[in-house]
Formats: sequence, C-alpha cells, structure tokens
Amino acid sequence: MHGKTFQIDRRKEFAALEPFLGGQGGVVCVRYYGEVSAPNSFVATLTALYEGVWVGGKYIQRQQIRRSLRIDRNNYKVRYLPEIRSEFSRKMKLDISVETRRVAETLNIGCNNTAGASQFIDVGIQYGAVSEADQIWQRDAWIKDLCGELRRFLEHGRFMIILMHGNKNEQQEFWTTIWNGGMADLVPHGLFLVMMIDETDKDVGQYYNYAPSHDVEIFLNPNLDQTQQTHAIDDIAAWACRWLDCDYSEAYNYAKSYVASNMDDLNRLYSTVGAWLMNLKRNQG
Amino acid sequence: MTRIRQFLKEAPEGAARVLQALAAAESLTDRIAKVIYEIAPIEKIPAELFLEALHQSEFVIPRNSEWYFSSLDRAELKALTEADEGYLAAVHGILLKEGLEGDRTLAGDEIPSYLFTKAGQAYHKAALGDIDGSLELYSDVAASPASGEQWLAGILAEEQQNAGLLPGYAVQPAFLRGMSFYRERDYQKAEQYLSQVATRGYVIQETAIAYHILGVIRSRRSMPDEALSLLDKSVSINSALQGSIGLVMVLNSRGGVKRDLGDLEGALEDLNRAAELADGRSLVIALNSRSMVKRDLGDLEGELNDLDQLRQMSRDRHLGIDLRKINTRHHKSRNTAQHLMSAKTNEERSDILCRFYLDNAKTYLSAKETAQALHSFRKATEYCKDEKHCAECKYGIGKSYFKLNQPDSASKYLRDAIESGCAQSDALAMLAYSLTLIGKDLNITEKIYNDAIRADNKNPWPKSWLALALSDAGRHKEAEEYARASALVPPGDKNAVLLFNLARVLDKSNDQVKRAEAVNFAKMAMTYSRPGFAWPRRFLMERGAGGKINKSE
Repeated sequence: MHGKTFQIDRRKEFAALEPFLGGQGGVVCVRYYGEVSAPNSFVATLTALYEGVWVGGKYIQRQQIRRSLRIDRNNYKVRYLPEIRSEFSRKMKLDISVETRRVAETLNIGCNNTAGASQFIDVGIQYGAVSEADQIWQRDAWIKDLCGELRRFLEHGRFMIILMHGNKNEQQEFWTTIWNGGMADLVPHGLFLVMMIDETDKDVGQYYNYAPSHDVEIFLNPNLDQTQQTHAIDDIAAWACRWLDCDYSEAYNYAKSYVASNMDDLNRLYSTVGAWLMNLKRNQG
Repeated sequence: MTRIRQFLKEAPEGAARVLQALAAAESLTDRIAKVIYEIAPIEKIPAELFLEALHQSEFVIPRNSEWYFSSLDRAELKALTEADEGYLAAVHGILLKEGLEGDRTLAGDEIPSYLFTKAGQAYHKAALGDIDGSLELYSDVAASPASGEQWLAGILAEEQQNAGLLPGYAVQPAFLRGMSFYRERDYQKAEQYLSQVATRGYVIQETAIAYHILGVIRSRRSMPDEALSLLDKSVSINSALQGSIGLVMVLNSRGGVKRDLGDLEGALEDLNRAAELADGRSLVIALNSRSMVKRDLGDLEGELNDLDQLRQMSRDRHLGIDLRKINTRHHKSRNTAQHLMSAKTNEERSDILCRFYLDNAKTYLSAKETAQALHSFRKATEYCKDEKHCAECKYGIGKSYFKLNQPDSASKYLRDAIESGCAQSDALAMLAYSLTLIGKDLNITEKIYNDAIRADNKNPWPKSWLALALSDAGRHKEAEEYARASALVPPGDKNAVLLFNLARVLDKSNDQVKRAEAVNFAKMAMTYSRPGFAWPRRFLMERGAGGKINKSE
C-alpha cells in the first residue's frame, strides 16, 4: 500500500503516536465509533507511516527495518495460531523449519475457542490418549521460539502489531497465548502494539478484562472540527494538485468545497474523496 | 445510502464495472488490481489514480500487504450488473492463472496468497464453470489438516452455493463450514452444518466424518445413547467405503462411548479392531483406550502389554504421548499384578483388587472422568470384604452420582456410606445438599449440615449450602453469617462458587447496601471462575452490572 495512501488530517492523533512511529516500543489504545470514524483509512495511514515517512508528498522508507502485522479474525492467514506464526515469519523474512511446521500442526489445543485441533487430537484428548498438557507445552515452546526470533529482529528493526477489534472469545488466544506468552516482554525492546477498539460494540467493556494497560489512548472522532477541516482541505488540495492540471489555489477551492459538503460524515468524506477526484480528472480531459 | 453507492455516485462512469470485476477476488494486491483494471480501464483515469482513490475509501480494508472488501461490501459489488460475463470470466481466468503459474515467493506481497491455495483455485474454477474440478479441490481442502485455508474454503464454497454456482446437492460447503465450527469449538453451529451433510445420506467420506463428529459432540454433551447411534452410522459408512483411517477413528470414538455406557466387552471389540487397522496417533488412542478397558475388565496383563507398546511409541515425540501418565499407570498395574501372583488366599486377592479399583476410581474422579470413576467404584465393591472399604466404595459411588447431577441415587449411597461408618464432613454435606435438591425439608437437612460442620469446621461447603437453604427460608441473618464464613478465606483459597453463593445470599436481602455488596462479590467470583462457570456473568448482566472485572477488588 506504500505510496498509495495519503493522510487527510489526523495530525493530532499521529502527533500522539510520534514516539512509537519513531521506533519506541509501547501499547496504544485507539478507540473509534464504528465505520463513521473511518478506522480503515486510519490503519492504512498508520501502517504506511510506521513502515516509512512522508516527505513532500513522497513516501520514503525508514532507515530502520520496519514491519507490521495486522491481526484480524476475518483474515484466514491470521485466524489460527500456526498461520499467525507463519505471517510473523513472512514479515520478518524468516524461513520456518519443517520441524516447526510439524509442531504447528498439533497446536491450538487447550484454548477455549479458537482452535485448529485436528480430529485426531480432539478425539485423542477426549479419551486421554494425548496429553493436553503436552500439547500446551509444545505450543508454549513454539511461542517462545517466535518471541526469540522477534527479539533478534528488534535488535536491528521495529515491529508493530495491530490487533483489530474483536470480542473476548476471538481475542483470548492472542492475549493468553501470544501476548502473555512472551511478547509483552518485548515492548522495552521496541515492539509496538496497537489495539483498535470499536466503542459501538455493546461488549466493549469486556476489553478491560484482558487487554494490557496502555501508554497512550487516542480517539478517532467521527467528524472534523474547524482546525481539522483546514488541515483536511490542505491535504486534499495537495493530493488534487498531483493529479489535476491546476494550481494550488484552484485545487484548494475544489477541496474546500468538497470538505464543506462532507464534514459532518467522515466515513463519507473518506469513501468518496477518491471518486470525487477521479471525476474532476475525467472532466478536465 | 451505502458507502459503495456513495462512491459510485461521485465516481466517473465505468467505476462500477471495475469494482465489480475487482470483487471477483477474495483479496487483492495493487499489482493484481492493476492487471484487472487495465482489462477495461476508465477513460482518462490512470490505474495509479484509481488505486489511490480506492485505498482512501473506507470500504477497502488493508490486510498485511494485501487488501480486500468486507464481505458485505463485496456482496454488494458482486450484485452490480455493470460488467458483462465475458469480462468477469477474463478476470477469473487471470486470477486462476496467477494461482497456478505465478511466482509463489511473491505470495502475500505482490500476489494475493489465497490464489496459491486450493480454496482459491476451487473458487475461481467454479466461477469459470469447472464445477467438478472445483468440488474436487474443495474436497481436498476438507481432507487436509485444520487450517485457516479450510475456514476460507468453507466461506467461499458456501457463497458460491448460495449464488447457485455450486449445485445444491454438493456437500462440500456445509461440510467445510461444519468442520471449521467444530474445530473452533462452536458445537452448536457445527451440528447445524454437519447435520445437513449427514441427512443427505450419501455413502461418502464426508457423511461418515459428519456422523462421527456429531456423535463426538453428543458424547461431550453426556448423551451417550444418541452418540452411539450416530457413531454406528459412521462405522457402517466407513466400512462400506473400505477406508481404514476414518474407520479407525470412529471405532476409537465408539469404543470410548461404549466404555462410558459400561459396555466394556463392546468397547474392547471396537478397540481391538481399531488397533489392528491403526498406526501413528490413531494407534496411540486405540491402545490407550483399550488398556483402560482391559484394566476395568480385570485383565491387568493385557493392560500392561498395551502400556508397554505405548511406552515404546513415546520415543516419537510428535505422537504427543504423555509418558509420565503411562508410567504411573504401568507402575501401579505391575505392582498389583505381582501382588496378585504372590497372594496365597482368595481374601488376599480380593483385598488387593479392591484397593486397586478404589485407587483407579479416585484417579478418575480427580480427572473429572466421573462415569469411569463410578464404574471403578462399583468394580471395587465386587471385591470389598471389610466395612471400611465398603463404606469408602459407597461414599465414592454417592459422590460420583452427586457429580453426575443424580441427587436421588447420590443421597441413597451417601446415606448408606454414613450408616456404614463414613463420617466425613463431605459425605454429610453432599447428602444434605442432595436431599435439598430432591425437595426434603430444611428441618431434616439443617441437622445434617450442622453434623457436617461439626465433623470438619474448616470445610466451607456445608456452610455455603446451608446458607443458601437458610436464605431460601428467609433466615437472612444466619444465612449471611454462614455464607461469609465459607467464602471469605485468604486470596489463595478463594473459590468462585463459594463467592457466588455469598452473592446470591446477599442479593436476597432487602438491604440495598448488601445487594450492592452482592454485585461486588459476583464480580469477584467472575475473577476466580473457570470458563465454564457462567452464573456470575449472567447474574451481573441481569442486574445491569455488565461483565467488567476489577481484579483489585
């Protein structure tokens, strides 16, 4: 997505995240109010900013190696533990040994809900043939290995995990197995965790049951105040200048008119700004 | 208006056609999206601008170098009618070709990784009309080890069946969905889908596995008779298919269920057959179950043979054999066998066997395998000669029934145990509680509770249960005293049930302060509770106190 994402305002939010974008480890809680807060655009921009920096509308890779991983139950590649491990390794450009793959196949035992337990293991445990404790031991050893790899990566790079909103059952495995299994100890070494929390979820209170304490908390408001409108106009005008055959003042007027008609609905503003710009481009011929 | 409609309202003509084409993919990368865009681009709009515009929109969701449309947005886009069939077929063709011939090292970075999976290829084959090829691939995914790909295949196959692309008779969609739910331990949804597979009645592997899993779920729900009937059907289909792996697994499961039902001979027959056909993990399960059945039948030599084989197999650590448990059992059974060999009289032999089965029963009880514990206590009774052991057996049987929620039988055996000289506080407490459950008057149970408290003043359970009974009878002050005495122990000894019982007692008070205190104790109970103990959460939800836990309380 690098180079394809640009930032519309959110200066205040990203200013609060500056230490972490600069490479400091930590835990950040991002609260939003459903899709009206435009969380996807925020995550896309956050990822781009973390992995690189924007200078004069251009994306420049950061000197330190930066990687990020978004954990989301709707993504088949990070739904179960073995694949989460593979994605970490893919991001860090590590090869997973055959041995690790074999052990990974037996994982996901002993967790409450998210489990990839095979029919063999499940039936085996039910009748006492296969030790659940032994499987858990293997899983924990495997997480320890992953944390070791991540720690070595953090010696010369930085890693951000974005945990998308989910209910307790969906996230329990992440907290109990991965985070408390060793990753929490990597924060002083530069690991950065972002928890996305949807305040419109009626069960949002459950988050307090298992989430770690955070260093910074930010809110994605669903509308723009006066200052934010000015910033958004500046950002959209700069973007329009890149694509339209016009000077900045003309682009500014276009942007001002667009923001004025969409400032009450951030979701609409984000969702249609690209379509609006394409239409202008096409009409210019 | 949806955000897709909002976007299309503002966008130039042709945007709907391109978006519909992009929605043919489960997920995308910029490289592949650009290839699709270039098939039929929007006039005067370069691909780079189109992609920037999309990335700015909220309906594009980033996914670790890839991106996708949410399932709702994708369904809306697929329902558009802007793109003609030839155009969409070309898109599916490109995506399938990338999956079959693309550079796998670029998976996830430049080419969507799902295209390299069988699930993705099955999806695009079906879209191109190759239904047999698609179903074959979906079946391959279903037969592979549990993975995210299987979950994805279920979602994609179900989508295509609902859209009429896959025929209604195909069982793969329901099978894949059911297996994913089963593996995620959502048994209710797993049952819904797997029942659809089973009721089709096809003599295929999917039906056999569906009946097997449905049987295992019923067994977990302590419905052994229904479980047995479902497993019988699975055995029958597996036998007809002449495939050994599925048959071995279902024989193992059926053997376990028969053992739960007390049909040890039937269990042994199934497990013998399973052990003959099995290898690897399935052999571990067969040998382990069979060794326990042999022990329950009194065949210690047979048990030791199976345990020896397991000990040898434990060298392969991927089999996950718990060698410590196996060695403990081996040690106990070998000692018993040796003592039996050297025993000179029948009385001596009976005494050895009684102790052996009592020991087994206690092990089962502590492992929460109550049905097996009950069986072993009964077996011990057969060899019981002295009063002390007889009382112990009766107590064990009573306790097993108590844990199996059969208060009628529990009270009968617990009373017998007490009359035979068992004066344990636990026995008296469980007797009183069982009598309460079957509707006996407080006049009767209160005396027994008090005897239990006198027998061991440190035992919290008679105090806690008595508190509930007194609270029901309106004797709030006494109830509160007993409930507090039982629950308010040092933090290391805190018990969720005792705390919750205290909450229930305080909640019945007319005093608002005490009812507020009840909420706090329910919250504390939730902190200490195991996942299966849902009462404190329900209690709090009913009182509008939510599920928030403050661990410092």
